[in-house]
Amino acid sequence: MSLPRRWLAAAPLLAALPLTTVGAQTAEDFDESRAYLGESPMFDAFYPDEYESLATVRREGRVNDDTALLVLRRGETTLALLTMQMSYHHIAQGDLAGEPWMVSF
Amino acid sequence: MICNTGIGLIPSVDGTVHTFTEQGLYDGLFLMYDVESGSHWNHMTGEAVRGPLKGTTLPIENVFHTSVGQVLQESPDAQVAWSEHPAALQRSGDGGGTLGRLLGRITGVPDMFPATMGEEDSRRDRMEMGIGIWKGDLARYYPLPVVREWDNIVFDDFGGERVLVYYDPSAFALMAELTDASGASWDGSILMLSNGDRIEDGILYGPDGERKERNRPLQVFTRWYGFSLTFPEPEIFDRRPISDQ
Repeated sequence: MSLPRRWLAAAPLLAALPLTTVGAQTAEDFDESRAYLGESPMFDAFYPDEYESLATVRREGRVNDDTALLVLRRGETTLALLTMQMSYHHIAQGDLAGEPWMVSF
Repeated sequence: MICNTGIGLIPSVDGTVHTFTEQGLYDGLFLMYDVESGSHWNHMTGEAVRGPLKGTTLPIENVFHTSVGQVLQESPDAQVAWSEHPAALQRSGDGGGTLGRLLGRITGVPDMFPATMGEEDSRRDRMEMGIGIWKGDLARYYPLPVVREWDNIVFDDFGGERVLVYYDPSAFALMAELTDASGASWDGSILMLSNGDRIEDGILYGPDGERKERNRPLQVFTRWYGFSLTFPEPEIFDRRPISDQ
């Protein structure tokens, strides 16, 4: 049995690219002269203290199957945030199964 | 949001939960601010960059772009945090909107952004979408147009591990997954992997048809400027497609 040609074509991609030391910016790189530091929040963050069933919200027509979500998981629990709502809030923070969580968008 | 970077963070410092807001701008990315200490934080790395907690880092985790249909397939009992804030409701009022619609509305950075930005990396277009993955000092960016050229599937070696990057049609987003497969092809919207696994509606199934645990590197589906300013001089996956014609 031969592999599909597309699979064979992918094989050269498995060759490793050279590893270089890059790393993220750190606090030591922070240049305050070009930072905008507001004196108050630019948007209202979202601090939910209760959640709803996504299936129920779907049945009620508040969302549809293509509605964009941001999703995080805690053990067996899945928590969704509407991407469009997060485009306003930018930060959501709460507690799930006794553990704190936060999403930044 | 302009850069589309979604990140999960654990908002706890030395066992105490802090309250965070978006308050500030740097490199065209929002800075987080915690009320308790008055420190500013980088929201992609989770590190405090200014203030009393400078140098402290919050644990970070993946937050995935997906869709209602995909989540309900995978987790029928999923919960949603629904905002009643008028400004948020205005944005989600017509059913929520797709990620494509949201991204399509953004064609450039607002006027106040450039003054906050360091020297930009001109290897890719500022607003290009792609997925950035990182581990330790290694950071690599997979441009969406390059993945598109490969029929929405590329394989790569990332720090000694094989990574699959693909465009998930039901999530409308790029995803990265560690795998032992060496190839893949599409069967409609189902991604068939050479090791017998398949990804269908965002769910990974093994050869026996049972769900498998995901193994995903830290990743952000973001714009080039956001990733390259946060991870200076990242590697870029830029292999040209090998014609199979």
